[in-house]
Amino acid sequence: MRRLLARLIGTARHARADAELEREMAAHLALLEDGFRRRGLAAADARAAAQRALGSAAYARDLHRDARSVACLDDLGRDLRYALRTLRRAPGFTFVVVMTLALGIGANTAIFSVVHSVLIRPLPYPDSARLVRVWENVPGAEIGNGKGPNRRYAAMDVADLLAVSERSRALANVAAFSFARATITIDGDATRMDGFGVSPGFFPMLGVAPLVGRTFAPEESIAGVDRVLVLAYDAWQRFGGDARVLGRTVAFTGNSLGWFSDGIVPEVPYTIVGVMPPGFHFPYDNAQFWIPRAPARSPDGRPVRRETVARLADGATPTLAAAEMDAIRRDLHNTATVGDGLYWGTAPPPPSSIQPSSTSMVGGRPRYELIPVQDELTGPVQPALLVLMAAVGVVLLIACVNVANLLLARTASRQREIAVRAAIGAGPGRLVRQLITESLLLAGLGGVFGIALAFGGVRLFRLLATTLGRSDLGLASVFPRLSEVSVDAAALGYALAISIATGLVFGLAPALRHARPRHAALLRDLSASPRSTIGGSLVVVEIALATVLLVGAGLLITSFVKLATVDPGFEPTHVLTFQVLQSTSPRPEEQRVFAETFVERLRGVPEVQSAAYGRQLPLVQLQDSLTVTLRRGDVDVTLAGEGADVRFVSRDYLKTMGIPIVAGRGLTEADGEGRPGVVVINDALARRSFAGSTPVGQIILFGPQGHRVPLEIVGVAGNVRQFGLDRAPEPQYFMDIRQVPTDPALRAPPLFPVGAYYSVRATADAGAIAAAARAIARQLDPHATLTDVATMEQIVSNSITRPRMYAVLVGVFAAVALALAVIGLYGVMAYSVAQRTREIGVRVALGAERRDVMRLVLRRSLLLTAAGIALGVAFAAGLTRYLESMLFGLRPLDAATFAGVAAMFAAAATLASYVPARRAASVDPLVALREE
Amino acid sequence: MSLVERIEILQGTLDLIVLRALATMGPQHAYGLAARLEQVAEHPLMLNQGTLYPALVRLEQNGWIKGSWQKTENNRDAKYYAITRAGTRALEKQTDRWHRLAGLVNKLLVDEQ
Repeated sequence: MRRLLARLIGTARHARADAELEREMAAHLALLEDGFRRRGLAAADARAAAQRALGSAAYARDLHRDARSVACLDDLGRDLRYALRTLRRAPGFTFVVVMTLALGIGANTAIFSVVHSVLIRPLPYPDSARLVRVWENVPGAEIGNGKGPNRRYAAMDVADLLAVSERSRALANVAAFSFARATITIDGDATRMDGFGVSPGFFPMLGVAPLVGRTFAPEESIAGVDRVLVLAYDAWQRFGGDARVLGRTVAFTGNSLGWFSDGIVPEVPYTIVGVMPPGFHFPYDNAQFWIPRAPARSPDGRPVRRETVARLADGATPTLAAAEMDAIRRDLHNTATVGDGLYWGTAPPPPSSIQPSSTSMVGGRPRYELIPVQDELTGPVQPALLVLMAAVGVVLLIACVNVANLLLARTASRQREIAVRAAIGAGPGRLVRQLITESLLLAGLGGVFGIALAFGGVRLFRLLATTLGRSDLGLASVFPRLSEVSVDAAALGYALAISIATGLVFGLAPALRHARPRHAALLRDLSASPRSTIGGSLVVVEIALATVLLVGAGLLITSFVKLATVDPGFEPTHVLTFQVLQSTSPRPEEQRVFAETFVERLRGVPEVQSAAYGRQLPLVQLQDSLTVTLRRGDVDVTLAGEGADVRFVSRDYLKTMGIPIVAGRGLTEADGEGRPGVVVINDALARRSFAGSTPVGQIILFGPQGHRVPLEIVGVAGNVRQFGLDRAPEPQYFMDIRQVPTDPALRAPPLFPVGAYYSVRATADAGAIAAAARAIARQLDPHATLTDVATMEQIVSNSITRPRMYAVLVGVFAAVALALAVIGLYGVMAYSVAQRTREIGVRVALGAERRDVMRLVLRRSLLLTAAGIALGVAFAAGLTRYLESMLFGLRPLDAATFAGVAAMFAAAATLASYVPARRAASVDPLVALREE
Repeated sequence: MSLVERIEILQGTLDLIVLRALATMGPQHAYGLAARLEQVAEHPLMLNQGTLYPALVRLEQNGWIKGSWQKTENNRDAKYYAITRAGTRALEKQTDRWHRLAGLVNKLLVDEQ
C-alpha cells in the first residue's frame, strides 16, 4: 500500500528522481573508477572498465523508473506524448478528424442539452413527478387539427372538484387555478400583468417556500379578505426588488378585464404579501402574480369550469386516480351530465396547449384523464426533440465512420512504423494501447471543440426557438422551458461519454486490425490487402445514413417553404398592431368610445393609410364559434353542426388587414349603431352554408333565442387562416362592432375579452407609427401605454417559429452529413486510386485510354453511391412517418423529395470522385511501373 | 533479453541480500554493496552493477532502507543506504521465509531425484 502510494508519487516526479539517480550513478562510476585505478589500470582503461561494470545507464534508468512508478500510467504518459508528436506531424489529418468529431459531438451535446433541460430534468418543484393536470375527456365530441388523436378536453367542473378533493384517496392535494390578466399602474405607466387566481391548496401542493413574505393563508380564499397578492420574482423586480414591497398595495384596472379576470375586482387595493423565488412560474411561464380564488359553485347550478392540478398520493398512478375520480363523479350525478349548456361558446385563448372547449351541447360519457404536468408542458415538442436527437445521432455515426475510414487509411500507411515497433519488442497489447491512445486523444480534442460548438449551438437553438412569447398568439409557438435550456453538467458528462465512446468505436477497428502485423505481408505488396472493401462498405453505410437525414431535411424544408408561402388571406406587410393599456376601468361602451376616438385621431397621422380596431386579430387564438341561424322565408333555420367564427371589427378592419371583398361590399361608415344590421361573411361560410345560392341579401340571425337580431349579408370576404397557417380557413363572419349589443340582458359576449386590438396600415416604419400611437393614447389617458406591439409580419413569422426551427436544424445536420459523406467518398476513392497506381499503369501501358481509366474509377464510385442511396432511401421510407406530425402540405413519402435527394447525392458524389478519377487518368505508366 | 530474465529470477533474493549486507556491514553506497556481492559470490561479473538500483528504490519505497548523501573516506560524494528499524524486522521475516522456502524447494528437488 505504502509502496503503491510512493509509486504514484514517483510517477509524477520523474524529472527529480532521474536527476537524483544520475548523480548517484555518477558517484558510483567514480568509485568504480577509483577501485580499478587502485588495482593498477590506466585512467582511460579504468573508466571503460567502470562503465562496463556498471552497465548501460539508460537501461538502469528504465529499470529504475519501472520500479519507482506505476508502469501503465507511465506508459500512458509516453503513449500520449508519442500520440501528440504523431498527430502534430500530420496536421491536415488531425484537423480533419478533430473537426469532424467536433461537429458530431457538438451537435449531439447541444441537442442533448435541450432534451435534458426540457424533457428529462424534473420541473423545479419538490417531487414534481407526482404533479398531474386533470382533464375531462369527452369522447364523441372530438375536435382536432387532423394531427394526432382527436379529443375534446375540458377543465374540471368546480362542483366535482370539491367532491373529489374531499373524497379522493389517490390524490394528496387538488388545486384549481384560472388565468387572470389585468393592468397595474406602476410609476405612472399602465403595465399588463398575467397571473392566476388559485385555490387554497395551490401553494401547499407545490411545496415551494416563498423568497420573501408568505403565501396565502387558508382563510384568505374567503371573499372579502382575499385582497392579497403574491408576486413572481421578475414582477417583483418591476416593483424595485426589495423587501419593502411587502404590505404595499396595488389596484388592478381593467380595460382588459373581461374574459380572463372574473376573479379580480378592479379598482380595489390588493396587499402584496409575498414573493416567489426566481424560476417559479406555475402553472405557466407567463405567471407574474397569484391571487386567492376559492372554487365556488355557480348560483344557478351551471358547471363552472376551472383548470385543475393535483398531487398524486404515495403509490397512486394517474390511471388509478382517474378511475377513482370517475367513480366519485358517477356517485355524485346519478346520470352522467353532459355538456355545459353554454350559449356563448366563446373559448379563451388556451393558456395550455389544449384545444379550447367550444360551443354546443355534446354527448358521450366524459372520463377523467390525468396527465403528468411535465408531459403536458413538454408533450407538444417531445416528438420533434426525439427526431432531432436521432438526427444528430446519425451525424455522429457518420462522423465516426468517416474518421474510422481515415484512420484505416492512415494506419495502413503506418504499417511499416508499426512493424518496426513490433520488431523492437512492443507486444500486441502495447500496440493496441498506443493506437487506442491516439484515437482517444483525437476524440478528446474533438470533444473539447465539440463542447465549444455545443455552447454556440444552444445559443442558436434558443435564438431559433424564441418567440414573441405572447399567450394570445397561442402557446403552440412558445417553446416550453426555453429559459431553462443550457449546457449543464449532465450535458458535459454526456459530451465526455460520447467522446470516449466514439474514440473507442472508430479507434478499435483499425487498432485490432493492425496490432497483429503480418510481418511477412510487409515485405510483399500491401495493395493486396482487403482494406479497400472495408472502406467501400463503410462509405455505403455513410451515404445511406446521410441520405436518410437529407430526405428528412428535404421534407421539413419543403414543408416549411410551403407553410411560409401559403396565402394567409390577408396582406401582412406594412401593418402594425398593438393594444392600449389604460389606468382606468372603462365599461364596454366606454371602451368602444375610446377605441373610436383613438382610431379617428390615428387616421390623422399623415403616413397612416387606414386604421382599425377589433376584438381580435388574425392568428390571435380567440375562437368565437357560434351556431349559424338563417332566416329562410318566415322560418328560422339553425344549421346543425355548422358553427361559424364571429369577428367583431371596426369598419376599416378588412381594408387595413388587406382582406379582399370578393362579392358585394364591405362594412362602411354608414353601418353604425342603430342602423340596419349588416354582416360580411367569408368565402368558406358562403361555400358551406350558401352553396348554390347567392349569399348577399340573405339574413343571418345573431343572439340567443328571444333576442335575435337580423343581419343582412352585404358582402363576401376572402378566407383568412385565422388559427394558424397550417389550418384550413374556417367559416367566419364579420360584424361591425358598433352594432354588437352590450346590454347584459341580452347575455351578449364581452366586446373586448382581452382588450381591443388595433391595426394600422402605414407607409412609415413601425417605430414611428408606434410612437405616434403612444402619443395619441397619452392624450386620451395620461397613464396609457402600448403593449404587444408587433407588425403582422412578425406575428405571421412567430406562428411558424417551430417549423422554421426544425427545418433549419435538421437542414444544418443534413448539410453536415452530406459534406462528411462526400468527403468520406472522396477519401476512399483517392486512396484506392493511390493504391492501384501500378495496376492503372499496367492498363495504360497495355493500351487503355484515359477515358477507360476514368470510367473505371467513376464506375466504382457510382456503384458505392448507388448502393448507399438505395439503402438510404429504403431506410428513409420506413422512418419518415415519424415526421408526419411535423409536415404541412406533403406526405412523408413525398416522391419529389426522395427523387431530389437521390439526384443531389448522385451529383455530389460524382463531383467528389471526379478529382481522383482525373488523377487516375493522368497516371504515367513509366513512373507507375518504375515504382516497383 | 536473457539479462532481464536473470535479474527477474534474482529480484526477490537481491532485496534480501541487500538488506542482509546493510544489516551486517552498516551503511553502504551502491558501489560498496556491489563490491560486497561480488566478494561473496566470488564471481566478479555476476551482475550488472546498474541493476542494483531498482532493488534500492523498492527497498526505500517500502521504508526498509533510507538513503542520504555523505562523503567517502576518499572525500567523494556518495549516497549511503542504511537499514531502518522496519527494515530489520522485514529482514528477520524474509530470512525466515527464505529458509522455509529453500528447505521446501530443496526437499522437493531431492525427492524428485
